Amino acid sequence: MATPAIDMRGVRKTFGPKVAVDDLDLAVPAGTLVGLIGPNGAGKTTAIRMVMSIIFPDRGDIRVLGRASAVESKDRIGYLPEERGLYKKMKVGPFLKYVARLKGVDDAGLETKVRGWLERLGLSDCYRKKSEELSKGMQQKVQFIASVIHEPDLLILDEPFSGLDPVNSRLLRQLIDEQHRAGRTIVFSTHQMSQAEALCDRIVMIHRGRKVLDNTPGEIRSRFDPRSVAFEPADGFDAAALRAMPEVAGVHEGRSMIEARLRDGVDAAGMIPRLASSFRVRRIEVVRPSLEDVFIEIVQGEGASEEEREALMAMVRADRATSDAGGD
Amino acid sequence: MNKVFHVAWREFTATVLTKGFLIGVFLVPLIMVIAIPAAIFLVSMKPPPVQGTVAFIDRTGTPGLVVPELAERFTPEAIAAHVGRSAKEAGDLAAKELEKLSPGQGKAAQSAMGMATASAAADAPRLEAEVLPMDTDLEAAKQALLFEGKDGVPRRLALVVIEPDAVIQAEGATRFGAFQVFVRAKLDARVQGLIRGQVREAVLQTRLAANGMEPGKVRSIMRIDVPDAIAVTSSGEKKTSEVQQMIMPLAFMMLLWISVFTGGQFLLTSTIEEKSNRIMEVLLSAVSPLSLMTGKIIGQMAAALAILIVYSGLGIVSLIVMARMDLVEWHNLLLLGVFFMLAFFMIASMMAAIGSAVTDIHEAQTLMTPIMIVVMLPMLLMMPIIWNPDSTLATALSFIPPINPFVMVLRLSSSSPPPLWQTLLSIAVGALGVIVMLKVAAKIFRIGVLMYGKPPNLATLVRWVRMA
Repeated sequence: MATPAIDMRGVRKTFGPKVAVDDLDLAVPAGTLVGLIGPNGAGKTTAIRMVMSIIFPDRGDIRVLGRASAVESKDRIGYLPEERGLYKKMKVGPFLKYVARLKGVDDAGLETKVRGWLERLGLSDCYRKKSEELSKGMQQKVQFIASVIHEPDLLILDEPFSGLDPVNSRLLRQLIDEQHRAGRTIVFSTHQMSQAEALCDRIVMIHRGRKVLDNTPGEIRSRFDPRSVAFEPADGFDAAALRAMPEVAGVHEGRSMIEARLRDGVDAAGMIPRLASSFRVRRIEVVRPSLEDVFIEIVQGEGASEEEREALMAMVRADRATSDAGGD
Repeated sequence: MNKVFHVAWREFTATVLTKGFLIGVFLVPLIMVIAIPAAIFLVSMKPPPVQGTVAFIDRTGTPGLVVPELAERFTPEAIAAHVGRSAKEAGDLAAKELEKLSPGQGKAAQSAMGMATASAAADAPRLEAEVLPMDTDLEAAKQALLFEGKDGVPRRLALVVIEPDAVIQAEGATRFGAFQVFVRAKLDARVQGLIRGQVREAVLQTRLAANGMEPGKVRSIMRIDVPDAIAVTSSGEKKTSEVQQMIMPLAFMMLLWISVFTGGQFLLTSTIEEKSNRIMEVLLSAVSPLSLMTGKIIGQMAAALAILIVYSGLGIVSLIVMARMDLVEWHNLLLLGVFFMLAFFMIASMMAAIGSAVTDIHEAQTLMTPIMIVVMLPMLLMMPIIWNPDSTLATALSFIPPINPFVMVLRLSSSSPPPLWQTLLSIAVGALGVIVMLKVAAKIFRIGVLMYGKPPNLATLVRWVRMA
């Protein structure tokens, strides 16, 4: 196997008494698109900053693009930090050229490159504009260009979707996908699970500074078997009978959906015909655990009781079902 | 290294190519160059000469004594002659001082003064004497000062009352009496001064004559020209003037001070801007904090150097115009450059450290206080050092960073420059101080640039330095 783009081993970082990252092992194979997920304050940004050699670990070993640290391969890494901004008074074109030069891009053809990127993102008239004249969405596009202008091998995006409207979110997803298809290794952090689920080859979850999950979305889903069936009840639905079934571990009644959690070992798909014939329902489906469910399960797993977790997850699902129905 | 250059270049252009900088650095001196002749021109545009009478009430009781003297002085011709004479005297004195500072210029100035003298005489107030009887009612006489003159009847501008014992001492008294002057409201202060002066002269003249002394002789006895001191040095004698002795150290020190602190201020604001605009991390993904700080300091140093060069260039040009380049010793200019570097790197690294630690300029204020004290110190110590460049205080301060560059510049340009070993030692100590300060600043900078939230206090900064 080729050298991984990022290889972190036993990395630990503390800020005073707070342990931001603890004993983190992370290998990002070259060419993959990895999503780093976790709640706020989980240690994602700290981990990324350590990869970027902006801050240094107290302990552990980090290799980036085969080198001992990102300092030696800074010009081959593109980085969109979580805290990102522009010089207010500086014009967009000169700013992008400045950043590119800092990243070691030659002056030859730089102007064309910058104009090309601006054109692709619909900013061709912004070359001479000061960044304070741009809208927030436009500024984010400029920041994205700044992170890829030097055609890096490794692209690290910290919360790239935060603050973007749906149109720009989609555009960014396309751009990330494009970079991925061009063979670049991409790591991005997000707390929007749906983005990660849709885009990533691999998902790494960090919680309280520790890695709690590191797998492909498919494997994650299969590991967390569907064990729930959701109904949209018709008139005369007998919830008591549902509760009485031996396969059913618990029932949660939401506003428009009812969710039955099945006992371990029960095949959810196999249950559908039986349930559909026994009860009056408008709609019935197997609930596939989304990344969000997994995330919440893991997060809640620490220190939360079984019942609390159950209630929380069911609530999330019911809410989602409601909003889905409302959207139809 | 290339990256440091890119950072420095951006820093330099972003600072220098702004309206604020261009206006502040280039326009202000330009305005001064334009404004001074303009002000002189405006001053020379005088209103029409004042016209009117000065009334006298002589209470001495000896009519033939002071009145003729007053009447003689208060005619339009006599006043014009007097004004012209005193303008010439003032002009000659100024020309003499100018000649001392800049040979050749004085002569040219003198001819210009000649013209000024003529115009001063032409613009002199037209005053006439109006002698009132000795027993005139004072209140009634004062009333005339309230009325505007009608056609043909001149305005009364002032009323002078000569006291009874003004010329001849009263029996048993040790002092003479004097005179009272009442004037019309809003009478030009210069005219008032002229009237008082002329009356004083007349009274004095009469007193001398009445006491059997010859006024001309007494005047020449009383007059003595104070010469300039001549400094005896190994390279010959040279006249020292106090003005000259102060001007050069003051100029050198101000040059250094203005350029260093303007540059430092720019560095502070640009660092804070990068932090508050959240652009710092983008930059740090491309350059190391140390390179970033170095680049920024170098860029701002270039901007500060531009200020220094513009201002010292202006100074040199004006010295050349005055033909007094002998006041500047060339090696001092070189040393000014050296001490500029030391002072700039010192202050700039402090500014970079503070700028990196805070998120906006208000937070910087508290941390700036100790620096401001350091900054003001050379200003406070300036006069003692200029007067006593060899004092123990001045010598001791020459070896204490960060103020040693300022002190050395003052001493070097003073009339008694320090020995070479002191200069070299001061540079060495300064360089050492700069290295230490840069290291400290780099540590604070590295941590500070990524710190947001509660602004740190000095204790926090010290902890960061220990941590890094």
